[in-house]
Amino acid sequence: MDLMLQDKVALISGGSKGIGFYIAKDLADEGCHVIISGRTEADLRKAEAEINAQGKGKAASFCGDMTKPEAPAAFLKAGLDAFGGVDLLVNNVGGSDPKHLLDTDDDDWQIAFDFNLFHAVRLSRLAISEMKKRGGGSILNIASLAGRESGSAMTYNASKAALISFSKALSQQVAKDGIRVNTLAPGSVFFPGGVWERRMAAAPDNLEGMLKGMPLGRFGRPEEISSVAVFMLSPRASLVHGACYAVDGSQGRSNI
Amino acid sequence: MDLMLQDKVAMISGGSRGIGFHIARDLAAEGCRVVISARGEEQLGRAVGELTAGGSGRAAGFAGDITEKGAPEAFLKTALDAFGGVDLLVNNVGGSNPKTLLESGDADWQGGFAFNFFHAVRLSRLVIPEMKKRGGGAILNVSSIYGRESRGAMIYNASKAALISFTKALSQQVAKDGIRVNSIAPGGILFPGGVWERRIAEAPDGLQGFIDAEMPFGRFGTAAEVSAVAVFMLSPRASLVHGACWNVDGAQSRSNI
Repeated sequence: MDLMLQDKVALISGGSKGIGFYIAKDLADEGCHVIISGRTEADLRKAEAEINAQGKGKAASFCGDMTKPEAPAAFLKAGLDAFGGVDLLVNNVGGSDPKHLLDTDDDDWQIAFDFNLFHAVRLSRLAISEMKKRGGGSILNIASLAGRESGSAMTYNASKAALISFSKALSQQVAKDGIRVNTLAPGSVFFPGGVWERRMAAAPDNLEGMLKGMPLGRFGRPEEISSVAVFMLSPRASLVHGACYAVDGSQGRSNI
Repeated sequence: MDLMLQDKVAMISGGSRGIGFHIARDLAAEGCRVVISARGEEQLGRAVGELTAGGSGRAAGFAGDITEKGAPEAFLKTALDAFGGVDLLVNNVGGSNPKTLLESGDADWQGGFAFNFFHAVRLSRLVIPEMKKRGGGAILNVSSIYGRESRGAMIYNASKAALISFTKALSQQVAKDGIRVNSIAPGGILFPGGVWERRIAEAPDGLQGFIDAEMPFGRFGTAAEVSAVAVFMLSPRASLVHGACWNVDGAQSRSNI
């Protein structure tokens, strides 16, 4: 299937490893030019080099913490400087904090929403104006199974649910501009340096019990998320808009 | 993206026109052998002809009403006779009945569930053993956004919701066999001979009010836009897509998930 992504420009926050990196790599494999953000310069260099080594779409990078209020604008500027415009935006930065309500203070909640929601709001607000100049575009927000249903850390649940809600509402606002907005909700995905690697090492049973409860009996792999992400971002998904696609090997309980 | 569908065998019920035909056509374009069912011999013949236009004999047809007893078995036999096995199944047959509860009799409910649900149960039950012989497969049930949320006709809502529930439960049963099971939920899709063509013709305003109120893109979807997602979901590139219900509706539906 020709995904019609040749020479599109994509911004991917949190693109130096894991899901974000695979999305960047697979978009570049389809001919996109990609700019990735990350907090660690060395990881960014390595990711950039690996993508460029494919010999297809080019890669650039931006080093900074996307949760800081000024970072989204600087990231976008780096994308414009490198490739002259933006067609695709993947808001991928996020993470979890396991505290219960009575253990959390206001700062914990603010941090969770900064980490999982507000950078996506800011980057979308900034990138949409650029997408309009090019006649349209596509935004993909990486949420989580935990944003669709209960059963994870409370602040993560709430902030990822807010990200899904934001995506739907935004989809209605920008449909007329030819900009599609969707979310992808991964289940538990294992990759080096990821949260499940750490949790597996910390668990007495290596999480065998948890894996037995998952229909596929295994974690997801980042390339299984990126294949869906790349399809959703592509013009072949022209009617996919305001959707939240679960990619979890039936780990979630919801019927929809 | 290489969808890795070369030489897979796919059965598509209701495959002579609309969404089913487009799924068959796009699967064939990815290298699949396709077997379609339809009630009308003439339209079926035309569709099979179009699918085999390359002259490679990669499509076959089964004429029959898939809601009738014995039809799922006969449809499967056609596929096995033609191509020796089955890898992919698309349960696409379905339709709506606008009656409210007090207007509807038991026969309306039975008919609605026969049209939208029971044939998918039967075909899945029959085809899964064939998929197991080949080491796995993928089933895609074509539901509707009206199976995900309330709107439209009541019997359609309930039977399409049942189809989504069935899909999820089945996904848990067959995961160990390497068989993926998903549903797709289109919004309003306009195609020649389809229900929306008729409704537009009957509406004094050509449904412009409905389009303005319900469809953020200001238009109906096309069958090709649904089939692009269907083909991806059926492909090995969607290896972690299992037990999912993906809407393809241009944000027509209201649910956040």
